[in-house]
Amino acid sequence: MQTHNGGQMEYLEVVDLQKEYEKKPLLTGVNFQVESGETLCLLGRSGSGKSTILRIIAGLEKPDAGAVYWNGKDLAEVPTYKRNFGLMFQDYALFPHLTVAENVAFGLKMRGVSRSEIAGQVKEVLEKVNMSDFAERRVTDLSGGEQQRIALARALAPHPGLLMLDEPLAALDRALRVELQEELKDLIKQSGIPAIYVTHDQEEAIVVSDRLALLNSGRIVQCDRTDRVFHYPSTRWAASFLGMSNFLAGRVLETNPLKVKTDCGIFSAWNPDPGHAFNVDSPVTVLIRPTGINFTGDRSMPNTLNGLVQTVHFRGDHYRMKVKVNSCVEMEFASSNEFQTGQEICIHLATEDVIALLD
Amino acid sequence: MDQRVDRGDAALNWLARWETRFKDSGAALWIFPLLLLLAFFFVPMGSILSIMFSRTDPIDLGQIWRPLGFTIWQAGLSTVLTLAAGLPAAYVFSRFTFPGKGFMRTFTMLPFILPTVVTAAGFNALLGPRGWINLALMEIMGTSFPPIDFLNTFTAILVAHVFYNIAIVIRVVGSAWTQLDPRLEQSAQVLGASSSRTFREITLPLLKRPILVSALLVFLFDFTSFGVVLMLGGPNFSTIEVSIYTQALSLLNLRMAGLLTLLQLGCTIGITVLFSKASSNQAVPLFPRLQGEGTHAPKTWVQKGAILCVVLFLFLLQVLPLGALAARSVTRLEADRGQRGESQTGLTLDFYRELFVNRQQSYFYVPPVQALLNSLFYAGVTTIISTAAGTLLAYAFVRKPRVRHWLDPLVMLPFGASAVTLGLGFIVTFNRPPIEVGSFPFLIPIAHSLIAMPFVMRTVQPALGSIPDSLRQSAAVLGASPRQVWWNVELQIIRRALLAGAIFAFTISLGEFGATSFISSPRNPTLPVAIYRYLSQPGAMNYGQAMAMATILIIVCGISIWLLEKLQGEKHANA
Repeated sequence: MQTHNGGQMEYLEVVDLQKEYEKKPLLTGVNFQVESGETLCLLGRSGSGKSTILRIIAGLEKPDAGAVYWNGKDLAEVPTYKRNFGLMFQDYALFPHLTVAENVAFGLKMRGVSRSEIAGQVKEVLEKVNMSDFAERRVTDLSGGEQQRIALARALAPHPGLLMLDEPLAALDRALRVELQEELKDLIKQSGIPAIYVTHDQEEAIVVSDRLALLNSGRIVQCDRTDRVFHYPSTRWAASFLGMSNFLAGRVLETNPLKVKTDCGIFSAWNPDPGHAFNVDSPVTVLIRPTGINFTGDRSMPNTLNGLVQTVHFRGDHYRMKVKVNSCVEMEFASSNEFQTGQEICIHLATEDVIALLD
Repeated sequence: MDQRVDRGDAALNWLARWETRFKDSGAALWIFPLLLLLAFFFVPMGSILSIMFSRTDPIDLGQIWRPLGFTIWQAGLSTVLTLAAGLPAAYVFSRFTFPGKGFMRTFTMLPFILPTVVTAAGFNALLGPRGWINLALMEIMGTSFPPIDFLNTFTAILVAHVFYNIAIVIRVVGSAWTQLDPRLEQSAQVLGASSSRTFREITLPLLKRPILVSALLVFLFDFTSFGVVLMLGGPNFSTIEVSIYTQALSLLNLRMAGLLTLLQLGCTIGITVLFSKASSNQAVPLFPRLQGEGTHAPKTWVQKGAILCVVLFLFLLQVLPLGALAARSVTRLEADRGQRGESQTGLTLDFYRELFVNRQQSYFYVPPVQALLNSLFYAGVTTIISTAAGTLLAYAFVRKPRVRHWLDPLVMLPFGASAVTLGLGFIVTFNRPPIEVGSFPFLIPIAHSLIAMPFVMRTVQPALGSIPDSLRQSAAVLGASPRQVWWNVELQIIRRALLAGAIFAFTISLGEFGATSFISSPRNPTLPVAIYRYLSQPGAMNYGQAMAMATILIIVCGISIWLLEKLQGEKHANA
């Protein structure tokens, strides 16, 4: 499958979007870029402004300031219907008065594609989403998962320059959601169309996205490759949002290599943003990563903590334990080995396990 | 020079400001309906007011209190009777399935849109001095006087009101009853309540609101009842509405008519306010449930008996008079005056044939077919005006909810103000030289449109409001221009509602009697006015022709109701 316009790179650039809603800031300085063959996921809680960003890109809302560029061209004066983007709504917004095939054909019809051509393309897209047998059904007779596929088919049929998906799986039950995540990812990848995927579900975001933008109160907190965001959250908010809670307050001791002094000892720490410079003696919070920790070694080694296991819970593929560290703070860790409550353990931290947070 | 440029700029700015204001307010949508209301409702009402203050016609307070007292009394009693008859029917329709249920449901709606003249004609054909029952009794008893005196009695008014409005109780209370979660009643019974206790403590309190809503609506219709009181009650009974008519047209006391109009307007506004308050938060005690969960076939003999009683009652009340009317239109029973020789009794299509023949050379005589054509023309124009205006209003209310707050009550006013008031307003406003009301053919469809507009608006608005914004936005993202969104999405979705609204408007216009009886010219009557005239003239031929015309109206109304039900049924099937 080639990219839809013969392999030529296409890109969307969002520059410094600002938007207020009822006098309260909804978006404050949002910047990012997406290009062909790439899926960017906007991950954040509801109300963080994710959907508003999509609506602005689609032209359904106007930003108070900032701009959206498509292949370098400012879209401010281009009305929604001339942008040639695809947007999949959370409730799918299938046209209830049209059949499945007519829904999928809608975008092509609006573009004045000939009837015979429409029929062929609709057939092709329906095959792609495994819904060929449903062409003449009413959309109101479809199940949630079937509607989801049709909504995707409808968005893909007119070969949009950019595909936007607003919580496309949120209306489905968990089992179906997990099943469709990978299918959705494959379909988007196959099409080669740059995609923006909005969700509040971390698991979904991990599966679907190549890059991840964490959104908090209308601001992009961190935007990076998906695995890097999960491994190296850069702020306390990002770490908390991703479910991590092992924080230690401290001061910068040395900057190169980075060393931080905390109540639990001195640690070599990781700077998640090479562009950011720490100052000696400035206060800093470090995050102790809860996963991938080495529990062997002895206490005399550097970057090592003493731990007393408090509770252990089995979680299927790992054990989750609460550990009292250096007799002062409680931390959470995941381990593939089982430890006993009351057992003393050694927590050996690599430099990358101690992340100096930027705020 | 500079100053002039400044002034020009200021003017342009001013224009631009007003343009944005105009666009923001959505005025393009509601300005036409509002102008229609201003010119043809508020101006006429103003004229009535100014007449009251400028004329010196004698005011007799007795002429005000007596009709007021009677109006409240008959409306109250009619409402109680309608509830008493309607609630058991609502119960049977909401709880049981039985053969012919769909037909009965549709049929109960027919009287609701039937012109009052037809109703009067129906009861006349059944119970009038020349009605089937009296003819049969005279034959059996060998007398030449009709033994049953039904017309021109209080009973006739009450029966006709129940005939008309029982559909409201069945529909409003019945649909609430169907939606009642049966688990509530089941819980009560598990907790130890007997069936009758469950009904008193659970079902009835939950249905209190819909019962109140339907009672207020029935009361409103009975309060402003005109044709029924005029034609079935006769000269001994006079509601406010009838008094306005006689004061204005027979006694020419416009000051009294104006005063009565204001009194009636005040009362109906009060009832309308109560009604909208009661109906606004109606859905509180109802829970989502499976479709048809509480409806089942009757199991016990008591249940079967209840169904039989209700069906029999509705048959006697509604089917029989209309059937009698239709039968009378094709039966010759007595010799015509002026017809020589032996008259033949039996089936005949003469009355229908006679509709097309101008036999009498009277000045006021109009061939009935002309009345039919008039009615169709007026109904057509009404449909166009009210569908356009009602749809514009629906758009305005959906897009600008704030407009709805102040405009909705204004739109409902002509409906509550009653048709006779509207007709009187038209007379006092527009009947001045050089205009003569009867000579301006568009006044009738305009009056009809004011009455039909709220119906169209209320039919279209829910359909329009049910379209989620995401649907329009989806279409736009898929490349549909605003006009294409309107044509390909909105219009296709509201099409059914639009058609239903148009049918409603057409039927309302076809049967409207109160306002039309004021403003139609003697030479250009509508079908209902012609029926009224034929009914009040002696002679079997006149009587038969009235029956024939009424039958035509029943058939048209029947088709309308059938179409409306079909449209609604399909809508439910789609949902």
